[in-house]
Amino acid sequence: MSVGGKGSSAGTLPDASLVDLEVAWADREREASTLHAGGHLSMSLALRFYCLEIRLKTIICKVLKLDALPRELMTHDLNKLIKYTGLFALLNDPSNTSLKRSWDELALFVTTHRLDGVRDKPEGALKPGEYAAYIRFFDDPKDGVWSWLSRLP
Amino acid sequence: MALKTSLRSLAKRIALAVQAAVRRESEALTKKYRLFGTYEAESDHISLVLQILGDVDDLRLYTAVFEELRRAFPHDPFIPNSVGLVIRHVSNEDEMGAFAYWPEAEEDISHLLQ
Repeated sequence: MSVGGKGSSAGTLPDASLVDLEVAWADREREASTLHAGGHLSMSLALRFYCLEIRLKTIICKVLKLDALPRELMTHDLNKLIKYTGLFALLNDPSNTSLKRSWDELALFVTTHRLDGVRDKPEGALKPGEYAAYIRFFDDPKDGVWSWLSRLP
Repeated sequence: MALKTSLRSLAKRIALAVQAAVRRESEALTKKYRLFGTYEAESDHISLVLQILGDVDDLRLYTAVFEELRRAFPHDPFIPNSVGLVIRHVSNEDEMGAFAYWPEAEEDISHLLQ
């Protein structure tokens, strides 16, 4: 099975090919920026979570040298996905405590279905200051999870 | 090792580690806090929410909790690595209460953490 091909092997998902995933996270990131610029903070934040999820799935495909996502990893659970990225130990290294704290905030937002609440309810479901707080957990230059992933080779 | 197999004893050791960290990082032993947790089978992960009364440096407390967890499980780093923690401040005891957002599908282990 070659990296970059259209995934169709047993155990992987043709609808989640590496090629598509790689394009998709960048597309979702652009869409999140557009929504933010338009003042649509709830959906912008929700898309940032989808960006993260898709980017982790992209990393997994590369690490496992698969051209599509394994069926077992068709999940929204960030804590499950990170374990297959090869980054789990690095994230938990004591030198990365601030980063791990950001990660835990983002992961809990998904685990506790707050993401669903933001996505499925009117924009007021996002508490004041919540958007900015979570964006810091993504984008803080030093401790943000997205910033960290972007720094990785 | 799946955490599920020994949740009760793990929860007790986790609770003691959190207690030690709170004592280290708060000025008085009477600093009030409540610990809530859930076990997520799909990811074999424990999520903790620590409600604490008053001002505490979040990052210092977070760091202290994980130092204590690593100390509690010196030969099995997978366990502290499979724990997530968020800290939530409350301004008075009345605000301390059940964490409202646990999904029903996950296993609430809060009672094991008291």
